[in-house]
Amino acid sequence: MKQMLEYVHGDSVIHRLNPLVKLLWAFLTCIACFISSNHLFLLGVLLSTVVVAASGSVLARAKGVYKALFILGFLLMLFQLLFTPYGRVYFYILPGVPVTDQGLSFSLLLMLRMMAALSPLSLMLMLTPMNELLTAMTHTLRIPYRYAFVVVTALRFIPTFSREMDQIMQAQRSRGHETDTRNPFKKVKVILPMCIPLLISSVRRIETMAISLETRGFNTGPRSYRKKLGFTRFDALAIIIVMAVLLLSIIIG
Amino acid sequence: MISIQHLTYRYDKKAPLILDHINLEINKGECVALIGQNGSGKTTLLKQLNGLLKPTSGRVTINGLDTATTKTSALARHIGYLFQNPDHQIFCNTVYDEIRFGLLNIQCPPEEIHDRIKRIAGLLGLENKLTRDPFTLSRGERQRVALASVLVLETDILVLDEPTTGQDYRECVEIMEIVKDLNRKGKTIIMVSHDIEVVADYCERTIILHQGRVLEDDATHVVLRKSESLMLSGLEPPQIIQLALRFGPLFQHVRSPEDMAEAVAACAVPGGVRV
Amino acid sequence: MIRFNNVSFAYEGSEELAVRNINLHIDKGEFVGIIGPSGAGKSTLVSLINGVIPHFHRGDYYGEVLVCGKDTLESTCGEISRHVGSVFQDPEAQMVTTVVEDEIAFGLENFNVPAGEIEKRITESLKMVGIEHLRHRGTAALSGGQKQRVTIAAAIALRPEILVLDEPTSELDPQGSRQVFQTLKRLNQEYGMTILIVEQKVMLLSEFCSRLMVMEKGQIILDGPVRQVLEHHDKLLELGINCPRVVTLTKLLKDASLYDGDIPVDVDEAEQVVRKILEGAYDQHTAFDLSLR
Repeated sequence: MKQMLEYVHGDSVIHRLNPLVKLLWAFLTCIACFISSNHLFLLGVLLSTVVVAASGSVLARAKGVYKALFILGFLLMLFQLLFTPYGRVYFYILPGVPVTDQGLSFSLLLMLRMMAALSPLSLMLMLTPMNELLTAMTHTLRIPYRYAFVVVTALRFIPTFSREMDQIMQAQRSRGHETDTRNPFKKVKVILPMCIPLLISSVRRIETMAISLETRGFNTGPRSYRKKLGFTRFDALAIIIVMAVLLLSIIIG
Repeated sequence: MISIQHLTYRYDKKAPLILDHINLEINKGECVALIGQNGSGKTTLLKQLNGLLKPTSGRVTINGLDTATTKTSALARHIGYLFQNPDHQIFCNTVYDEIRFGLLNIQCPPEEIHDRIKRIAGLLGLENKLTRDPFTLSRGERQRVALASVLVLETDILVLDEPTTGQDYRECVEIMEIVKDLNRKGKTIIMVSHDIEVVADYCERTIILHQGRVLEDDATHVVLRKSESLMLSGLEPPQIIQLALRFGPLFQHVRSPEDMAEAVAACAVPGGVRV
Repeated sequence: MIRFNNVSFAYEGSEELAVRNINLHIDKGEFVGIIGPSGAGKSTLVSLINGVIPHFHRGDYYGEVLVCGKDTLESTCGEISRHVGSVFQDPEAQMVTTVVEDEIAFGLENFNVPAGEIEKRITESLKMVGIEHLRHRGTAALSGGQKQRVTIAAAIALRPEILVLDEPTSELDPQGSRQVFQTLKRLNQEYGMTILIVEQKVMLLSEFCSRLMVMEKGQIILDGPVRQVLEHHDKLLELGINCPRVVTLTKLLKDASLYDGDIPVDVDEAEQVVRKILEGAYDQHTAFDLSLR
C-alpha cells in the first residue's frame, strides 16, 4: 500500500515534467476513461500508463499498483456479472444466474476502466516530488501554503506510518498474537488494537515535527520559492497528448 | 537449542543477499552478543529466529522446531523477543493487562496467570505499578513493562534487539542486570547491541556479522581484541581494550579498568602497590 | 552569547519545576556537552534556548534567557531560529521533503530568502557538513547518520551562530554517531559555531567537547572544562552517568597513588598516562602532549 503512494526519486523525462501537467494527466485520463465505453480504447489507455511507468523507471513498483487494481477490478467484474443477465447465455454459475456475452463484455469494461482510470493517480504520486507538488498547489492553484503543506505532508507520512504499523504487528506476533492469521475477520479483530501504539507513536512524531517546523521558521511570514516551475516543450507535448486522448474518448464514445 | 544451517535470505529473487550461508549453533544457557554495522543483517538474523522472516534457503531450528513450518505465534512459547522500541509492544490500559496479554495468547491456564504476573512484576520492580497506564510511565519503566510482558511467557530463549538504546546509563544497567540474572538461572540470551561496553560487560560470546556473513564467532574477550574485524564493521574495541592493545602482549589478559589498574600496578612497582 | 539569569520553568499542568534556578553563561565558539539522567531537565534547557519554551510549550516561566542579547520571551520563535539552529533525536520527523537539496532549501524558503541566494547557501551548507555528494539524493533512502547530517546542514543553512542538538545520535550506530560528532567539531573549529549538545554517549562527548555540564533534577550540578568535570568520578557514578572507562582507570590509579596528574579524556591521553607510570614518572601536574594525538 505504501509503495503505491511513495515518491520514487529519479531524473527521467516524466520526472522533469511540470507537476501540474502530471496532475492534469491523472485527472483527465480518469475522466476520459469514464466517458468512453470502448474496450480497445481503455486497453490502449492502460497500456499508455505502462509506458509512462516504464519511462519513469518505476515499472517494478507499478506492478503492485496494477495487481491491486486488477484484484479490485476482478471483484467488481464478478459482482457485475451477476447483475447483467441479458444477452446470449454461455453457461450458468448458479441456478438462475447466467453468464452472458453482454454480461462478460460489460463487466470486463468495468475492470479495464478501473485499472486505466486509477493507475495514473498512483503513478503521478510516484513520479512527482512533494516539493514541486507543493509549489504547484500554492502558486498556480492558489491554495494557501499551510493547507497545501498539510496535504503533501500527510501523503509523505503514509509510508512512514505503514512501516511503523509493520513493526508493531511484528512485535505483537512475537508475543503470540496471531497477526499472521489468514482469517479476514480474525485479522480485523487482531489489528484494531494495534492502532493504539500506532496513534501514540504517530502523535509523538508529529509533535517533534511541529517543533522542528517552528524552529525552521515555518509560517512566519512571506515565503520565497527556490524552484520556478518551468514549462518546456515536453510539457506542451504532454498536454496535447492528454487533450487528444480526451477528445478521442468523446468521439469514440 | 538453536541451530542455523546454511541460512541464506533475500527479500525476493532480484534483491541482494542479506544473509549469506550462515552456520551457527547456540547452546542452552549461553549469553551471546550479535554485533555489526547497520545493514550487516543483524536484525534480519534475529527475525529469522522467531519466524518473523523465513529462510530463502537453509534451515533454522529452535528447540527442534523448524521455523519455516511453524507460525511465529507458536514459536513465541520458545523464544521471547524484545523489540527496540517498547512503544511498539505496549497497547493495554494497565500494566497488569499488558503483562497478561501474552499469557492469553499462549493459552496459559487461568489459575496460573495471576501468580505468574505477580512474580514477573516483582522481578522487574513493577509491583506498585500494575494498575497504572503504561503510557504514563517513563521510557525506562515502559521498557521494563515490555520486558515483563515478554518474560512472563517463560520461554527458554530471550532475544533482545538493542535493549539499551535511548536510555540513560542507569536504566540500561538495570535492564542488563536483570537479563544477566536470568542468564545465570539458565535462560539463553541473544542480544544485538551497538554499545560495545555493554557487550564487553555482559556477554561471554560475541558474533560479528559483516555483509550477511559471520566474520567472527568466539569468546567476547577474544573477539573484542580483533581490531581489524571490528573496524571493518564500523566498531571500535572498548576503551580499556583499545588501551591494552597499544602495549602489545603486556596487558593481554586485561578486560576491565580494575584488571588494567592491577596490571599497571604490578608492572610499575615490582611486588605490588607503592605506599 | 547565551545567558540564563535565575531561570526556572514548570510545564503546564505540572507542579514540579523542570528546571530550577539556572544561571549560566555560554560564550561564542564553545562546544558544550550536556549530560545527566533522564528527567534531569536537559531537553527543557535546550527548549529554553531555541525558543520552543515559551512559544510552543506553555507553563510557569521565571527569570530571563538572553540569546545573542535578545530576551527569548520577547522574540518570536522564528526570530530566535535565525540565531539558533536545532536538531532533534528523530531524523524521520525532521525530514519534510523528498530530496536532500529541497530539505536544505526549506528553512531558507520559509524566511523568504531570494532564490539565487538559496542556491548559494545550499552549496555552502553541504560543503560545511561534508555531504556535497548527497545533494541530489532522495531523503527516504539515506542511512540514519546521513539523515542527521542532512538535518544539521538544513539547520545551519540560515547561518545561525548557535546550534543546539538534543540526543541527535541516539538512534544511530557508532559509525554514524562519530560522523555526526566529527561534523560538529568541524563546524565549531573551522566556522566558529557555538555548539550545545545533549547526549548520553559520554565517551564521545569527552573526546569532542571543550566543556561539560551535568544536570540532575532540574539543576546544573557540575559545569566546567571536560577534564575538570570528569575528576568528579564518584559523583558522576552516583548520578548514574556512564563515565569513560579510561577515567575510571585513572581514578583507580590515583587511588593507588600511582598517578597524580590530569584526567585523560580519550584513549590517546590514557596511553600517555600509562606510559609515564611504566617509565616511573608518576608525578604531579603532568600535562598531556597533544601533539601526539
